[in-house]
Amino acid sequence: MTEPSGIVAECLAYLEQVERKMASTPIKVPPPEGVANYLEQHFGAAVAGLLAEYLVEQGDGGPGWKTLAAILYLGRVDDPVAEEALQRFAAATHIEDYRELAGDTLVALADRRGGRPQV
Amino acid sequence: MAPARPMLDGVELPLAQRIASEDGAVLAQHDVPALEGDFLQDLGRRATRFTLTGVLAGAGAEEGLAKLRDRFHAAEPVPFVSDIGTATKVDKVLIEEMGVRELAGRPARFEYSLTLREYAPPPAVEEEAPPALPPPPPVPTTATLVVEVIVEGEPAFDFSRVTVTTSGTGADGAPVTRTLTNRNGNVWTEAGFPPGQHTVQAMAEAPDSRTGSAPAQVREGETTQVTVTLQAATVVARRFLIHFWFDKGFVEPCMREALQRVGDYSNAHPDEKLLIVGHTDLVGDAGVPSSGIRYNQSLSERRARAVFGFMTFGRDRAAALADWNELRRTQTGGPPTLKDSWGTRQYQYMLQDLGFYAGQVDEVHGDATTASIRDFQRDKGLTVNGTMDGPTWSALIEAYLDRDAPAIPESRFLPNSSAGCDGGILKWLGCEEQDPVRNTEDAWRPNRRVELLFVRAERLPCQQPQPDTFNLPTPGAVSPSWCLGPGNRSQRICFVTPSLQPCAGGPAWCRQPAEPGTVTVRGRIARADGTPLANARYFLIAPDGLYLHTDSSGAADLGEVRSGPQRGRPILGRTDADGRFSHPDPTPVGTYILEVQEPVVVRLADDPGLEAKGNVVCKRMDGTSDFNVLVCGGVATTFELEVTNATRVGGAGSNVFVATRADPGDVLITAVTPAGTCAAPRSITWTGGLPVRGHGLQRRVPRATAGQTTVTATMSSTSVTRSVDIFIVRLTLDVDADRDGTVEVDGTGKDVWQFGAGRKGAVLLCNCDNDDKAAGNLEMDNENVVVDGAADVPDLAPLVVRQSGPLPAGLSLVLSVSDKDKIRVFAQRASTAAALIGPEAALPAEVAVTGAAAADVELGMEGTRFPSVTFDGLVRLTLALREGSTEIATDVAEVRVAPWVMPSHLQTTEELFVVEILGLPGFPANASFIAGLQSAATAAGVTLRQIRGAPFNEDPWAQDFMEIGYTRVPGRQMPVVLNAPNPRELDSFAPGELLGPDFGLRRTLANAAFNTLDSHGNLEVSPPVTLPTGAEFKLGRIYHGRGRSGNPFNARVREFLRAQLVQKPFVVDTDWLAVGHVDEIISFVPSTAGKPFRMLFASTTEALRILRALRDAGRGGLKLFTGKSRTPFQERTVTQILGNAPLLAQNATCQARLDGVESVMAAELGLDPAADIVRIPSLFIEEELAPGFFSALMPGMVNLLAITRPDFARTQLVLPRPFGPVLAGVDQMEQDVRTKLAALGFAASQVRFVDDFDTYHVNLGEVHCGTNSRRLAHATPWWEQTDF
Repeated sequence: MTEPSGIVAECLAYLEQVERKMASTPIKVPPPEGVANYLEQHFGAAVAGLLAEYLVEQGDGGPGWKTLAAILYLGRVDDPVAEEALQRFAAATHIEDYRELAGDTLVALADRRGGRPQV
Repeated sequence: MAPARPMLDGVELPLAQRIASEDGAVLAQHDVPALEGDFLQDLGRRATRFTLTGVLAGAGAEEGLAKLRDRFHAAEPVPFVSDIGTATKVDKVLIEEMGVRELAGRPARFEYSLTLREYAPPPAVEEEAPPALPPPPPVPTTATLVVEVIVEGEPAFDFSRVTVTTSGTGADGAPVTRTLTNRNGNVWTEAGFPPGQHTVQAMAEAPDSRTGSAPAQVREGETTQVTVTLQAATVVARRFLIHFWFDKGFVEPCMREALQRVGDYSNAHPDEKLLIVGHTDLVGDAGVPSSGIRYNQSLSERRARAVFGFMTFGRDRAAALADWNELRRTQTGGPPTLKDSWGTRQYQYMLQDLGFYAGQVDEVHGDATTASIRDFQRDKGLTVNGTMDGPTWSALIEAYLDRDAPAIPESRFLPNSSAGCDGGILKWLGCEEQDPVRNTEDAWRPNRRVELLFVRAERLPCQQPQPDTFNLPTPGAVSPSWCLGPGNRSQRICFVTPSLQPCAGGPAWCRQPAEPGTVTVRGRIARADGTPLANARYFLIAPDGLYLHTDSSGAADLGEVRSGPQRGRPILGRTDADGRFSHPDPTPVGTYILEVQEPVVVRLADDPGLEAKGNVVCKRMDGTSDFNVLVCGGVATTFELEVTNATRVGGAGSNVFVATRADPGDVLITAVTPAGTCAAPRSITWTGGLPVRGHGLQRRVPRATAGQTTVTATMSSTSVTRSVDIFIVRLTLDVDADRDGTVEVDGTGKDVWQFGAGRKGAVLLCNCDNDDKAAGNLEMDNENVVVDGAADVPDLAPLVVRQSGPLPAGLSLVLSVSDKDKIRVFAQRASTAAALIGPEAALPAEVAVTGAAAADVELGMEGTRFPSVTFDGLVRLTLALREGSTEIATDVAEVRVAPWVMPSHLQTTEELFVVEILGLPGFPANASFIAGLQSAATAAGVTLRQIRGAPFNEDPWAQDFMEIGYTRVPGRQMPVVLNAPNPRELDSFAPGELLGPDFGLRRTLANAAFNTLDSHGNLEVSPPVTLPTGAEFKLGRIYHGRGRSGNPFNARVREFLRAQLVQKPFVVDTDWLAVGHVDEIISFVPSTAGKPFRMLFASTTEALRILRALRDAGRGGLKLFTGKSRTPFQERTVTQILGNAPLLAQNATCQARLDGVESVMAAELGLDPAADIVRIPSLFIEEELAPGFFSALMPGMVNLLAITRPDFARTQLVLPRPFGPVLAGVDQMEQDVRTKLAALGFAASQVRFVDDFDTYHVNLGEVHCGTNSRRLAHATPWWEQTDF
């Protein structure tokens, strides 16, 4: 197994850092929207593949905050891999809240992509 | 293709390159079942659409284009000509779309594209003829009377106490009396009022009696308005009437019912005195007006004496008999006399009433009369000679008076006494003809009356002359002396306002009918098979004595011979071909007398309990039924017993009946004879049960006492005997419906549970504590089927099945519940009691209650769960009396499982909690913090409980894992901890350490993943509040952050809180906070100034105001967070903060969100933002690793712990030390808060700032987050909450 490098390593380091910081707070786990905000602001779409792969591979098994953060982040990036990952995740998850959020995210993605013409 | 040349509104379009038309039909498709294909309906064609494209060029192109554009903008039809248009016969079109493009490099050359639509003019408007005028209104034959009643100077007078009556004469001269009932405020409106001259009288009931009257000239077809001013009234006298045959003082049989009502009234109104006053009409001796004054005085007294004897026979037999025996004797000599010359009519009445004479009361002593006298003499053991000799008269009078005789005690009469004179009681008075109801010198029965007046007075208001017959038959026979004189012989009615005058104040009493209201009389005389007694002669007498007669047209007519030898006798009426009779005018409620002047025996058709006596029938008419009379077809020789108000058990033919005590009315047993036959009085003899007044064919069994009664009836003539067994069962399921901690006896209002003080509905504890924890039991008490030791007994609500009395064989009492999953019922309230009903599969939903026949049975019940989204908290308990599976009767109690309630910061703090942290990664030991907390707890006198050891000591956030609320039943409250749904180290603390005796637990299913919004720092409650709408939340309102997308506030908790009903939750916006808890920005503290609380609310504006003031004062170099280094909480100056534009922008964002939260709090809690909200300086910073979310930069002082005590001086507030800029040794942020709290009554020693900076604060929490508390219940019990 090779060490991740570059932007991926930076992203993984961030996720580890934020999780560690929040563990001792009342939040206990990072706020998913805050994490998604951070990922979007700092990495743009560059870590979409990483988060997409994470979402599909972990499914319902990962920490809830990270799953939610991944869904929210993938919903903001313009990358086909994000949509595919969200579709696969939505089809596979057994958690209603996740499925609902993933579904809403997919609808929002479709709306954005097939935007209506200006009048 | 050659270019087309269409013309549009005179503009030639010479270079049209394409013209197309489009036509379409309008087809409607209809669904036809089983039809293959479509069924279409042609609704015509659509407007033709043309599309034209081409080029305009040349010199006129621009002008033509402008013209077309004008037409387009005008949106008006324009002429259109083209070949293709002609083909579709289009003359005018509308320009629907118009596109023009100028071609580059091609000046004055335009491409155009036009879409045209065929113009179809709108159809002409069809004008409808106006509707025909309505027919003219019918000519009114009646009028409307509007009466306004006023009480000067008393706008709040309760007019529901006022009775408005009218008396007077109609246009036809007939007397009219009415009681007005259609009231709106102080105005009574009576439509259909008979025109004529009337007097309106208004009277307010005692206490504070008022009366007033006004004349009313009511004209046909008009609305007459009168105003009556109520003034302090004279004494009101409630009047009953007894009326008499012409020149007689005999009390006729039908008057018996009226006099028994007088007795009932007297019993029901022991504070009122009775005065008996006799009257005569204005016909004197030999019918000569005004010549018989002395005679009439004597006659009026005889009438009064007869009534007095009747009313007191039950307690003074001898005196009554003496008077009546004197009255019946034939007159000799002139007045005064007590002899009243009774004769054949009178003894026929008595014989008939007693069941010895079934013939006509016709004053003819024929064979039938003789035979009846013989029967009577035989029955009484007298000499049987068929003549009315002295002994027979005496025996007959005694027997007549002995039937259901009233016994009005002496204490109910006014005194016949004055200074130095004691004549006993005032038994009666006679007022001769001085007070006619109608001033006529004709014979008129309503004037021939005795009035029985009930008054709240201790004596007559004026002197009275001694009655003429006072010393008859012997001196002292009435009383030893007359003490009320001398009086004025011509003013014998001085004590009442004369009948012909309205009451107008003064000492004279104002008479009002004791039974107000009127009815319209109608009836029918028929045989059992429906055959009418057509064209039958009869006369009918109203309760006021009026003979009701109608003329041939059905109009009211004079019913009494006014003069001549037959004066005073009724004028007979006749039934119609269907046996019907009626009277058109309203007449008073009361007893009516019908005498059928035909050779028939009759009785009331709708009252089988009455014997058939002869040709006279009495009926009380109150508007509920007609006066229907049955003509008897023969004498009954057999009968059956019918039982009403009870249920037959044991199947058809059984003579066993059951009734419960709670059902209305006595159980009635009636001897019912075969259809068409009648039973005479005394033909049935009874044993068991009680007599029914006036009903010889009935017995009654009252419900007052549970038990068995056997009732037997025997028809003496045929020896037919029937009997029934009546079981009166006490079917009572009692609970503490009035919520006073004690079970009522035979409680009422328990079947519908109601919120509100003084309302009804018992309360049940959700028995979620663990009273036998010490014995090693780990279950909550309502999780098992046993009573968990003696300590658990008080947690069981009592339920009492009252002693039922004996039950007939085959019957049982069964207790059932509406939902056995929500309640468990134990056989007793005892530690050894077995569960009878409960959620377990082995337990039923209903159970027979044994032992209740002989004694009360007390059961115990516990709630198995709190109200929830699927359980409204209500359980109906039913005690049924059953025969097999058939339910005979039930008693129902509705109980409510007590909700879980959250105490606010204003409730007394009983215990504090904090987790002892020995040191965690990023979270140092908190010993110093605990010491500060302990100091405050000690000052308040409250125990601080430290949660120690693993795994608890890995979770510092004591606020977030549980909420300690309470549940409450009358006389008992129990803390109940609601555990938060997040998985965390403190999870097992509440079930393991708190759940125990009298400390309950409500578990919430844990989330799959941790959600900070579900921590209970995000769940708080306000103090009691009242909204501007008047809605009152006596237990405050719960509020919480609403949650985020993907992280909603836990739905189960939200629904649970709503289901408790009494603290209506609402949400606020905490999404923008990293932690997201309401306690970061909102807190409530008690106050001694004005409102008993204030809301403390985070404000960046306040913090920046303080910082700017310091900077402006040249103190910008003062430091915040002195000595701190951890990013972003490192030491920095005032100037640095105020110069940090991103930080200021972040705080502006936070303030905007705070403003929104404040608006919501103010609206939902009815707070005055200026007076009720105290703004606490706060600074926030955006989380670097979670952009878009904010945390407290300066320790959040709103995030405090209120240790509330009943003695306000001992209340302590523990706040995080803000580490603000220190000037002259004083933290300026602290100082600001201290000043604001001092205004609420807090002394400096009650406000404690503790250092939580390096422990809780840098980890995004403060004092409230790190602590928890147990508090007492609200002063107001939850069941008094009425706004939801």
